Parts: sequence; C-alpha cells; structure tokens
Amino acid sequence: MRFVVYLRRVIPALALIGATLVLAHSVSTHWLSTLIALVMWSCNAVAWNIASGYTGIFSLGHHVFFGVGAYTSTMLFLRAGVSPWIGMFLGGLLAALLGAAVGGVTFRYQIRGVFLGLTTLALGEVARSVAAGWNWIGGPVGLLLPMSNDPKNFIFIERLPYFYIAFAMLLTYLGIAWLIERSWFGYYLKAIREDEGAAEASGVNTYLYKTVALGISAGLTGMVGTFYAQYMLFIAPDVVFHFDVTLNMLLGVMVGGSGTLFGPVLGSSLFTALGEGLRNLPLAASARVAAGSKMVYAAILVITALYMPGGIVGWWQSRRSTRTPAREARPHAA
Amino acid sequence: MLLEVHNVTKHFGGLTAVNNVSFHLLEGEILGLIGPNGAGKTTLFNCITGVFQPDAGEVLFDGQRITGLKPHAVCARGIGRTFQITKPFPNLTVEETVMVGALHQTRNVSQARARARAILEQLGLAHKADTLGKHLTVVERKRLEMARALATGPRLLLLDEVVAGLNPHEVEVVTELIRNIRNQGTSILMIEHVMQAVMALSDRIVVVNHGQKIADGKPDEVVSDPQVIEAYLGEGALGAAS
Amino acid sequence: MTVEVALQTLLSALLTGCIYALIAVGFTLVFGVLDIVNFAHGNVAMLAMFATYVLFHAFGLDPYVSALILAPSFFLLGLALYQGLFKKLVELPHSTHIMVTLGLMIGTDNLANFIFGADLRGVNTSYTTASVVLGDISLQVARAMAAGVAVVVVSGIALFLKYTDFGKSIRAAASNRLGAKVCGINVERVYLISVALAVAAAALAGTVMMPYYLVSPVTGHEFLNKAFAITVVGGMGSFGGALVASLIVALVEAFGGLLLSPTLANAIVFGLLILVLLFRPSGLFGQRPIH
Repeated sequence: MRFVVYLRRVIPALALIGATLVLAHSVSTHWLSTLIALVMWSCNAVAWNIASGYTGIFSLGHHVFFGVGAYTSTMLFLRAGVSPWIGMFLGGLLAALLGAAVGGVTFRYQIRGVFLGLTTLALGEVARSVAAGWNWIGGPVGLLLPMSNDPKNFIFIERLPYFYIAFAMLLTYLGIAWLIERSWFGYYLKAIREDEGAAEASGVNTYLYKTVALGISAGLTGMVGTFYAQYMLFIAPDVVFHFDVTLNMLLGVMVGGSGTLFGPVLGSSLFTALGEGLRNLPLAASARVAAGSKMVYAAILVITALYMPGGIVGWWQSRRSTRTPAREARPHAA
Repeated sequence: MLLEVHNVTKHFGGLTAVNNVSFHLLEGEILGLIGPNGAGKTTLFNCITGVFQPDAGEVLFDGQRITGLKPHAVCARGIGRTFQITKPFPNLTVEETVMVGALHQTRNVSQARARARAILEQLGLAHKADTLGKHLTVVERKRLEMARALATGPRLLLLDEVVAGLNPHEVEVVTELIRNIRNQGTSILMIEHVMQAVMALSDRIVVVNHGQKIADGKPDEVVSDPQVIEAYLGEGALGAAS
Repeated sequence: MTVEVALQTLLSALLTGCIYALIAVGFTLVFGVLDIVNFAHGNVAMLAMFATYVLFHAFGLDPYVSALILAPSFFLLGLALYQGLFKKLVELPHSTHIMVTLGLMIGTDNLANFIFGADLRGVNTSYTTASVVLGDISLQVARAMAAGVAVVVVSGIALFLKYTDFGKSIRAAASNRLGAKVCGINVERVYLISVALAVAAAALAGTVMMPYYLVSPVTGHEFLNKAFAITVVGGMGSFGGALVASLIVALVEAFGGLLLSPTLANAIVFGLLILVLLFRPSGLFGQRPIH
C-alpha cells in the first residue's frame, strides 16, 4: 500500500487508541466500567461479524459459544485449579469446535441459511435449560469466582487491568478480522456470502470454509465469555446463555455496518452506551424500561434492515461514492 | 479424450431431463452443444460440474471419474463454467470477483490480483475493474462470468449461452475472445443458441432434444441432418449458418 | 412405564400434535409460498393467547367465543402484515428476512412483557379441569376440544388447498413463482391470503389452548421451535409432511420427556431436529435436499 494512504489510515487509528488509553486513565471507576463494557461487547460484535458480515452466516445462538467459554474456564478454575489464562483458550477451543459442529451439521446439503438461524436459536434455548438443570456446573444459581487479587488467575482488584486486557483483546480481534479481510480466506468468505453456487464453481469449498468461519467466530466469542466471567466474577445460565448476548452482537453489527471492520465496534458501542445510560436513569419500574427499550431496539433492527442494510459505516461509504445509494449498500446477500 | 460423458441420465421426479446421453470432447476442441429450449443442456452441464449427481452414467475427465464430485472439486480438476443466468458477486468489484477465480491458482493475493487484471484486460473488462457486480449490464455480467471461470485456469471451459442477447457485432467480439481462449490451450464446451457463433467456432457439434442426443458430428453434417432440422422446427434457426 | 401411562402419554401427544399442526401449517405455508421464514410466527399464537386472557378477565368471554372475534381479527392483522411489511420482503435477500422477522419477534416479546410482565397467565373456565374417564386413562375435555378445532381447521385448509381454484393457485405459486405469474395467477393475492391465513391459524391455535395452557411472553419461542422442527422433519414446504411431522414431534417430545426427563423435552426435540438434519435433511416427504 502506498505510504501516504497507509499513514492516513494508521494515524487516526493510533490517535484513537491513544485517546482511549488516556481516557481509561482519567475517568472515574464508574465510567471505566462503562468503557470496559463497551470494549468487551465490541469484541463479541467483531467475532459475530466474521460469520455474519463476512460469510453470510447468521447465527442467532452465539450466546451458546459465549456461555461455553465462560463455563469451561470457570469450571476448570474452580474444580481443577487451572488458571483462567489457560482456561480461556481451552474454552475458546471448545466453543470453536462446537461452532464447527453446528456448522458441519447445518451446512450440508445446501440447507437454507435461515435454518442455521433457527437451529442456533433453538440451541441457545436448549443450552440455557440444560445448564440450568445441571447441578454439577452450578445449576440455575450459577458459579461465583473468588474476589481477590490474583493476577496469575486472571482476577484483579483494580478495574484498570481489566480494561487493558479487554482492549488488547479488541485490538487483537480487529487484527484478526483485518488479516482475514485481506487474505485469500477473506475473499473466499465474501464470495460465499455473495453467491455460494458461483463460489463453488470457482473452486471454493464452501462447506469447509463456512464451517471454519463459524468455528473461528464461535471460538473468539467463547474467549470473551471467559473475560466476562473473570470480570464479573459471577456466571449463571440466565446470564451467559441468554439471547441478549447474541442480540447485542446482532444489533451492533447490523446498525454499525455488517461486513466492515469498524462497523461492529461502532454499533456495539452505541447500544452498550445506550444500555448503560438507561440503567443509570432513576426509573422505578426498570423491568418495564428494559422491555420498552428492547421494543425500540427491535424497531431499529427492522428499519435498519429495510432501509440501511449497510449500517452506519455502509451509509457513510455510500455517501462518498455516488454509485451506491444507501439503500443498496448491502454487504451481504444471503 | 479430455471429457467423456457416458450414458448420463438425470430425472427430476417424473421428468427425465437428460436421457442416456453420451459424447466426448478432445483436448483443444471447441464442442458446440445445441438443442431447443428445455432440451437438457444446462442440466447436462450441471451433471458434469457436480451441481447435480446423475442418476446413471459416468463422467470422465482426463481419464478419471469425476461423477458426483462436488463443484469445487470439479473445478480443481480443471473444469471451469459460466452460468446461463449470470451469478455475479453483487457487492464485490469486478476485479475482486475475478480474483476469487484467480485465487484458485495461487493463494497469494497480489499475484491473484495481477492475474485477474490480465484476464480483465484480455476480455475487455479492465475499465470496469472497480465497478460492483450489481451495477453491471447483462453483457458485462456475461463477460465477467467468463473472466471469473477463466481465472481458475481451467483445461476445459464450459460456456452456457455467453452470446445470448448480444447484437451481431458483440457476438463477433465474443467469438474472437473464445477463439483466443482456445488457442491459448483451453478446450471449450459451449451451449449456444446463436448459430452464428456455433458455426463459426465449433469443431464439432452435439445436438440434444428432449434430453436425448440426436446428432453428433461436424457442423455441416449436423446442420443438414433431417432429425436436427425437424427438432428445431424449420430452417429458420439453421438459416444463419453460413 | 406401564401400559396405562404409555396410553395416557400417547393420547396426550396426539392431542398436542393436532395443535402443533395448526401452528406449523401457517409457518410452512408462508415459507413454502413466499419463501419467508417468519421468526415471529410463534409470537402470533402468544399474542392471541394474551388477547384471549384479556377478553376473559375483562369481559368474561369464554375462549371459544373469543375465537370468533380473534380469528377474523388476526386474519385482518395478517393482511396488514403482508401489505405493510412482508410485501417488501419478498424480493429482498434472506438475510433481511431474518433481521426483519427477528425484529418482529423481539418487538412482540417485549410488547407482551411491557404490558403483562414476565409471569405466566392463564384462564380458568368451567371446563378447564374437566376430564372424561375412558377405562384407565383420562381425557382432558379442554384439550380434546382444542384438538378438535385444530383438526377441523387444518382439514379445511388442506381441502381448500387441494380442491379450490384459489387453493391450487397457492400451491402453484409455492412451487414456481414465475411460472404461476405467467399462467395469470394473481401472485400478490396468493401471498396476501397465505400470510393472513397463517396468522389466523396460529392465533386460533393460541386461543383454543388458553383453557388448559399458560402463557408468558416467552411462550411464542416454544411454538417457533416446534414449528421449525416440524418443518424440517416433515420436509420443506410439504403440507402433508407438516401434518405427519406434527404428530411425530409431539410423540417424541412426550415419550422423550417421559423416558428421560420432562425438563429436557425441548432438548429432545432439538436432538430429533439434529438427527434429521444429519441423516435425512430433506425431511420425510421432501423431494430432495432443502433449497
């Protein structure tokens, strides 16, 4: 890439990174928590985007992978003393294998893409009820992690270390997405997304690569699950195996910009910020507020899907090129 | 023999789309595949390239069985194809689209890009390199189909009605392109209705009707075969053959 | 497991299967004709159940009386749903279908939650607990009545599809949209009626379930999962397949729950789904692999 173009992209990115680091150091603990949440959920969105935005695989059960990651590392830590630093990768691997298995079953025989959505949605609910009924992993009450300062076991008293870890994860995830985007693998995934039949005829083993893409997406999500467990020090079926986890990824990616690099981060941050903001409002019936806000999210989802399918980033890109009206900025065509 | 089709049959429920069809193609040949609409030509292509599994019969490529292989595996053996109803990648640029084909030959993205550019140049699409697939005209889409298939480096290229809908001048341009492709070493099996192109290009022609082969031979022989004339219901379709 | 328990379970499953059929039929119809998978389909039944609940507690209306109001109302709602939304979806990519109907699902989940809260609600009619004893097994009157309604309506739809002209045009459009248009079939109207019919059928199913079933905002998800499982087991867009599959799914759920564990019933149905996807993805009556 030409050096000038390179600089124009890299400098703002570095500036943003620098600004975020400064911000993290200067704000109060409360805002730091918000920042950590923003970064953590952005990781999830980037992971989901690899399957959906790049490959056209719309998993509606990514919370299963999240939960598998969280429970694997936590159980290994609580029952076998395995450090969650290692457990994170083991959980991620298990989640990746599960993702590949789900893909392996549902991608055969050119089964409709929508079926993956329905299957993963059902899988999510099954996982939740199975986990709730499984006492060995804590049942409906969940698992608590010990609060102490135990860096070797991924537990910190201070918030700042969590921020650094989450931020490092996000940068890594973005790096992985970026590498995929510009590699042959990325071209193949996008071809699959655009037209599987044409991709196959051009030599792309669509079954294999879809399965791998889902596996990668699932594994990355699983690792965020471990981070969540270590940060919140509490996991339960109703929390980590909850559809809301997937919903956040979905909203973030669709509104931010499916198939783009930064769209998921942008969209996810918007919704996380909204959510955190709502939570801080002194409103009496917070359950109703939650329901009401979800109704608004649902409306946003429908409107975005119909009128702004490229999300915010897609819309922005289409403004700069007169050829593609926003309504047509549809990066995926499943 | 590069391609051998032996007794291939394909049913769809009660309809027998391809009925016991056999033919062969020699390396370096351009073989025309013609027949009235619904005769089973595209189905035959789909059976060869692995989109469908034949219910009976075998397909051999370079002496090896390829019957029932998945499409990407067939492509790996060296067969490329275009689709009658074009399948562009709507949200990828023309260059990116051809790169997908080129990446079959090399995993290196820059090399694939260079290869794609060369092929776009060869097929006269270089000026549209940055246009998204969904913004192309039908003519450009057909050209893109050929470019993408060619980029995979096939020994045999299956063309499905690539000159349909083109005006006579455009037909000549594409005819020349196809001839060049063959001269560079790629054999061609082409489904075509436009007799101008078929007669100009084909070394031999196979005619199918109602899923069965009714003629197989040199263009002049086939064109004067009474069964063929009858199948097309009159000399109108064959009149352009000169 | 004794013979009585087995028979009881069998009876229960058959009755449940009839209701599932009524829900699945609409789901399969919209999928087969418009090629749209409606994630909000289960929630139609859920909303109808809440509506029945309200009519009962506010006006004392028996669910079967409410059905006379609700079925037509939901039919109209279905017409509006098509005109206002699904009509646009038809030519859009499948990814958009997912997002839009998922949005509808989430929106209606939370609408119900907003108005009613998360608790389970039910109605208590005079016949809610009535049952008829047949030898060693008992037949719940409310469930039998509901199954009866379901059977009548599903049969009606089947006959309609098979023998009436409009029904045939629906089947034609399902099998080949462009071909149907070329034959002069008013495909728009086919789509419109199919959606409305699907919504009405699901609503009716919900309404007649109220005498014996409880509803909460998440009830719709169970129905969606069943409808999906039935569609996969029965075969894509196969109406007859959906009917048979409804019984199969109900039987697997009932006996699986009996033999393994009641709380694992949905996991067992999911297991069935995976098995079918693995070994016979075209379903029982599907012609070839789905697509």
